[in-house]
Amino acid sequence: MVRGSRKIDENLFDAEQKILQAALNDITSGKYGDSELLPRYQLMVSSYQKLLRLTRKIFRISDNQGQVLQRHQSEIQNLLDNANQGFLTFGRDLKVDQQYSAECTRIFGKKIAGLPINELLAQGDTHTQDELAGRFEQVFIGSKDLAQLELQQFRKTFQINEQDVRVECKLIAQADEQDDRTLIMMILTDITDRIKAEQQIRFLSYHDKLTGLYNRAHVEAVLPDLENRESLPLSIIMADMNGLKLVNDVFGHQQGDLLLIALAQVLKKSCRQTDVIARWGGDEFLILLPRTDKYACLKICERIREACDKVVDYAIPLSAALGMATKENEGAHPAELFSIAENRMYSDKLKRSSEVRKDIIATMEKMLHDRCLESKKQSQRIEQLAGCFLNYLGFDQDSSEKLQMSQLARLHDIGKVALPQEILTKPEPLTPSEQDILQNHSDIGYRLAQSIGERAVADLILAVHERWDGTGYPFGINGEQIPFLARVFAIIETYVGLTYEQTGNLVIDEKPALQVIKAGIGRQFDPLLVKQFIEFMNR
Amino acid sequence: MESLHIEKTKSTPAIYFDTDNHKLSIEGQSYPENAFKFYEPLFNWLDKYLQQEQQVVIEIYFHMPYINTSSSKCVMMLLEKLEDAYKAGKKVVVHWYYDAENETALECAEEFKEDLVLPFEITPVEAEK
Repeated sequence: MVRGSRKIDENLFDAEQKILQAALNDITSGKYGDSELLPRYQLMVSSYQKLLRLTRKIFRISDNQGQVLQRHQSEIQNLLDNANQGFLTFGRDLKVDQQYSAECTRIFGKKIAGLPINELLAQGDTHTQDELAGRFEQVFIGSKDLAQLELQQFRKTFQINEQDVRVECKLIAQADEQDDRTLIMMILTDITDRIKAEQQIRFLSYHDKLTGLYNRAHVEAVLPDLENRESLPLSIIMADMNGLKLVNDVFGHQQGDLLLIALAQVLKKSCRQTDVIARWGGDEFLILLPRTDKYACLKICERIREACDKVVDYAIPLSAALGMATKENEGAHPAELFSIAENRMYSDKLKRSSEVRKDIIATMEKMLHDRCLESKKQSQRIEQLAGCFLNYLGFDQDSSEKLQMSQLARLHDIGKVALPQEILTKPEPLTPSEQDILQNHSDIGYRLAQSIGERAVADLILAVHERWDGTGYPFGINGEQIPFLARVFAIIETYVGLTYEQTGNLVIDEKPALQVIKAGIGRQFDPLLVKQFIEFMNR
Repeated sequence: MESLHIEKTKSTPAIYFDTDNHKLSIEGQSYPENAFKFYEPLFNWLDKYLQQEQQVVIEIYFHMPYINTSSSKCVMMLLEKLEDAYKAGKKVVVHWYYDAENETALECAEEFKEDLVLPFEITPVEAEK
């Protein structure tokens, strides 16, 4: 067995060993054989030899044990320091003992050995400091059972250096005649993150994450409280945001979310502190207005509408259909109130739908003309010429075809509003991937027209870039598979584009323009329609 | 011969003598404030016992890791008495037990055994938790 300590102590007692050796040499040399002190000298040398052997042994044993103790201590300290909990002990003087875990230093922000625990916990609050001192004193003077009971109930959260720290205590009775101390062991747990997480969970349980408004669960929780006499008259407002589906479909859900947040802000601004504003469903909101009669409720509805009108810079004008109901006295069930408000909201939506649609189209058109350099005049020219051509083909002035053509002239490029500006205004030829993005506009235009209820026009928007020979987009359909009005539109749009710049200047004369159209027969255009168009133009 | 029985404390071992089997056991930790004062009655008792009896079995189990330095000296004094008795022709056996999990406990036991000629057995036992 290799013994590290044994190797060390060979040198440790070198001096003593030399003295011993010299004395032994003295005895064996025979030089002092006559001395009367020799027997006592011999006894002393033998005793010294024994003592030296014993001392060496004890040193080795002690060193060995010291190493083990050191290792034990470091193992225990490791356990304590990595437990993410603060462990400390203190006696009746309330001063923290020398050994405590590293988490204590972190929590208190300093070394705490010898500092009074009541002051550490109270953080400068002298009332708490005294209260704690009194309480711990009771523990130390009381019977062990009572003290244990007292400490079991001592479970408190303290604010220490802006952390929430839960403190638990345990009584340690040291049954030892040498060290007869009763100690309190304190376990400190930093629960700041847990409390934050719990608050977040509580918040999310009763709030809508996107808008920060209350959610349905909160309304259901507070509704019973609002049914009492003190809350009467109780009014409610149901709000349904207009155009959310359109914005989601055309501009993406991120824009839709922004619009929802904008409406939430409008509702908050228009209501009072005491009102409960909640997101009820996807695009529906609910407001509970305690102690509010129908006149006050109407006023709030007005405020909401006015505030919506003031909101600009979003994909579509912010608006919501509103329905309200008021409960004047006890008895009426909340479900009835909700149902009345909901019905009124739907009739409001219906009543204002064409107005809302008109607003949305106008905003889109404006955006198109502002962003995409698409001239309003160009659309008007197409609308005018297509109208006349349809008359020539025998369609009545107020036929549905003429109406659709007029819509198509206005909305055929509406999908471009959702495309990146740099692609729309790029002076150089587009790359193939940019071409793909650009061609996507007919698809977006289709969805947009669908969303505002213009289904027939939506189909036409999707078809205006198809070609007679089937090489167009998005589906590559050909001949008469292409809707009739889309075929007409393709000719008119090309002709207007050839003859007028966006700025309105004449580019080429009618005759060469018609030649270009003619050249497209059977490839881009319907041969019969081109023939009729040339006849119409030459008329 | 009067029996010997000293209760165990947190810092001192239990000492018990089984007269039927001539067996003296010392078991526990040993770090009394005054080791000589603690072991002195045992020394005196053992001196008397060895004068009268011809045999003794000593079982020693110190719960390591710690016996203090003074206790070590006292244990060596105890072993020296036994060694002298053995050399004088008495039947003396020492059984030294140590915690199997603690490798230095074996080294310590071997230190105690060193230089002795009496029968000295060292046996590992499962450590107390």
